[in-house]
Amino acid sequence: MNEKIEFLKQLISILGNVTLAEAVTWAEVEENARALRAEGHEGETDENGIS
Amino acid sequence: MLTACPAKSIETARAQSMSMARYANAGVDITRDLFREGVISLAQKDKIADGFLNLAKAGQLFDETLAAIEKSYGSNVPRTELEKLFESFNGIVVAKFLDLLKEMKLVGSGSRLGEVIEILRTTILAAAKIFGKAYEVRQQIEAI
Repeated sequence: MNEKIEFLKQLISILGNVTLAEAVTWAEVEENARALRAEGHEGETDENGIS
Repeated sequence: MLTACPAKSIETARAQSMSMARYANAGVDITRDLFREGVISLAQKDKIADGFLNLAKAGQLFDETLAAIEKSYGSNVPRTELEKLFESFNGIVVAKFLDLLKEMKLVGSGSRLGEVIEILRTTILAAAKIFGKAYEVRQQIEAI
């Protein structure tokens, strides 16, 4: 089923030259930015010594 | 002065907000790549991530304001409400975007982040144009 959907998406994209960019909500941007902010700080402890 | 059709303005503002969210998300992904590739430092990455975080919160607040106005007035949005909507847009989204732009300048406009910022800038100006305020917003961006 998923393969068929993917095939149809590709077909529509090729035939109509349509960009199938997925919609992104601001909440998802916030979540992504929060994950980025945390990157590189793994294992750090806060002022209470809690990691 | 607001000249566009109010109902169309709401619809277009929502579409522009969605575009900005998509580009902002791309900006976050590119920042992650640049950090992992060692192009930007941990401190630079943190500042830019904070900028995108604030922009994302501002975007959500703007969408909520948009939804509240639409709920109250339907397709007959008074121009005074559109003025308020622009003030909300200018006060939260543009302000956070300008903060982000300052951080980006530290990284350099020639980087891939510069491309995302340019797209975001164009989108924000397009959104400001809906309210007839593109000139005002452009001046703020160019002042940085």
